[in-house]
Amino acid sequence: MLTTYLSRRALLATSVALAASLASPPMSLAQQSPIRIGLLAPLTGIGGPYGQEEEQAARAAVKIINDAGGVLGRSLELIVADDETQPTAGVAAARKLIDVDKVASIAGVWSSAVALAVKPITLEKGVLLTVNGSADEITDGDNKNLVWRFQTNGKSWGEAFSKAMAKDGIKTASILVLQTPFTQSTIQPFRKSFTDAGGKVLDEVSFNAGQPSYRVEVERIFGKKPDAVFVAAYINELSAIAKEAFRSGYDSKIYAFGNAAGSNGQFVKNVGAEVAEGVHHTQQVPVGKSAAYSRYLKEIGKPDGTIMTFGAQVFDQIVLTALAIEKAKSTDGVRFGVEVPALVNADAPSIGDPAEALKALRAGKPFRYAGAASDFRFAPNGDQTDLTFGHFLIKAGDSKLVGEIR
Amino acid sequence: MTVYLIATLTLVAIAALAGLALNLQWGMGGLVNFGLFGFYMLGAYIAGLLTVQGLPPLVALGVAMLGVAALSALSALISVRLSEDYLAIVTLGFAECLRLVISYEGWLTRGMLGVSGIERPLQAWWPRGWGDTGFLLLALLAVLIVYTVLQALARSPFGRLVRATRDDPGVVEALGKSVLGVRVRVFAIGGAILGLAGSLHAFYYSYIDPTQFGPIITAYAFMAVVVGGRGSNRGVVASAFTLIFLLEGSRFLIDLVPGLGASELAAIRLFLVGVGLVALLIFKPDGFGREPRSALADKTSSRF
Repeated sequence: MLTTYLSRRALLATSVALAASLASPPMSLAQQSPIRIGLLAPLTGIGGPYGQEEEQAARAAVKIINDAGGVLGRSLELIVADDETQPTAGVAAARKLIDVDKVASIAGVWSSAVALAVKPITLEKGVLLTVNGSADEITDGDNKNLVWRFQTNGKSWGEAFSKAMAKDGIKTASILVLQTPFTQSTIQPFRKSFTDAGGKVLDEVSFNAGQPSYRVEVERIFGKKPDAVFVAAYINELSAIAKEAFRSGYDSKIYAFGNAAGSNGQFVKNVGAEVAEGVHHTQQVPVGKSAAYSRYLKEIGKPDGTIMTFGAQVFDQIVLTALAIEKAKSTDGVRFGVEVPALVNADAPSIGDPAEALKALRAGKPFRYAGAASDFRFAPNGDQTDLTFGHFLIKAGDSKLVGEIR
Repeated sequence: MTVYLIATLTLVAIAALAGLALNLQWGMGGLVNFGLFGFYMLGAYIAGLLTVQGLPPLVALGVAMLGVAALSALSALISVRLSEDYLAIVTLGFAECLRLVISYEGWLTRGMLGVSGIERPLQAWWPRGWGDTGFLLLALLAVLIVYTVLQALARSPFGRLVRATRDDPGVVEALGKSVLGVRVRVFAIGGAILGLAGSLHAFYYSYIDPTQFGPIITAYAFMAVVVGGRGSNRGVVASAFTLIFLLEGSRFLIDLVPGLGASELAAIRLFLVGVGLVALLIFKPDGFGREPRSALADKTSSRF
């Protein structure tokens, strides 16, 4: 009897605590309230392997900006939310960021499906949306300068694969594609570019994420012995497929996205150096030595030569958001969103260090920001142009840069 | 905050509809419908695709309800002769097939890219900036209507018949009633409600893609019915409310936890939701409500 009574009281106490925590307003830290910017990261779900990298990058960028005096005399505050790599959860999380936390912008949207679901709300509320998703549809339509893609679109990436294969003398290829808007958007451009260059696509199979086994798919695709197989998938599915193909003794070369096969050695860790040997991957990379990228690596304490593209993209998103706010002297997305393209497209000396860029902006000196992820420019629709892709090959457990593709 | 609450209440209304549908099929009728998310998805897709084609949203909603009801009845015809666990397997398989068809038949459903730009019903009615509130009112109205109809149904002779087929189909058969007929009708009515819930989902998000629909929707509906108390419509509505606020409230709770990275917090949040549900079942094992019973049933049930 006593225990029931106590537990009931405990339940009551917990629910009161819950209610109180819901009712209390979020604390403000500085005397002058900070400018809040949101990060909608894939912390769980299939994007999970990349969520932490995004958060780290966003925190690094915010710290650099705040150390340089913040924007408009106020500091930046980063609010992180988990989209569970799922559109409905992403919408709920975005609503909290926009309606409760009152963020000026949302960065880091990784999944194209989440970006497509969140976009109507950010457009309605005038919040800047910067995405890592590649699906072409994200930048379609009238986006009122509020939607900017910090990632190659599917078309450029698909073509990069066909160019890499052409260089390696690949004549026949097959395609194994995961069912997501991004991975699918690379397929048609790849096919067209590959066949135009005289190659032949033997077969194409699409599959769903989270299957217990990929045996059937692997047998059908690798069984026809193409020179190469383009595996358009993320790290978990790629790992399973590479293992399956290795076990069955197939020797077609695997070509995969850099964020799956590179992913800072995670793929090699997943499957072992023997299976990973000879896997090719391409990835949009900083050209030569990017000051912004070095600054990013230094801030997160990683050695030079580490490739963290999603992180670098989020770094650029936060830096450009901060610069645009400072330039427009407004935290209203509709007003500072307009400033985004000129900050990278201007015909002026390039600056990569965010602190210096901020200084130049305050001094009224002309400059353009040369990004960490790539020295990109913006097309009017919000897509990046002028991207360089690195072509990597895994040898003895390490990704080696074997060429650059433009 | 008010805007956020309005958005969250809309989710409650949609979850309540799915819960009410399952409460009719499983709570009252004893039919384990694991394929609930498939019917829900079908409703969303019919409403979404027709609206994008230019049909008025309310007409699309009506077609979605009828379409899902028809398909539900059809799937019931094939499968309700099977006993409980087999019915669960068949409905789950049916829903997964439906999801695969929608994922792969891009010419019809736009595949994994999803359908975007779905217009909400009656948006012109509300003053500028009140669209979300208006939609919430519409969703609440839908819940009210469905609730009233289901309450009336539960008290009607047909409601007694449905409960009888759950408790002892043999007796019902012996009394000269068609168990199959009852079950098909129960599936059809439940299907219409799921079509309504799915349509509201499509209108609310204005963008649908196959990744939004998975067994987790079925799981939430079962949770709503279990927490609400099998057979109690009032309990189901209350538990849909609890469930969504547990899911959404946990977003705020983790803001108060210091010194952990966002990835850990995200995992803790999902963990908290699970703990909350387990706690609810420990403290309220019978759920929030009880099935309305006749005086006679009360007397006889004491004998078992």
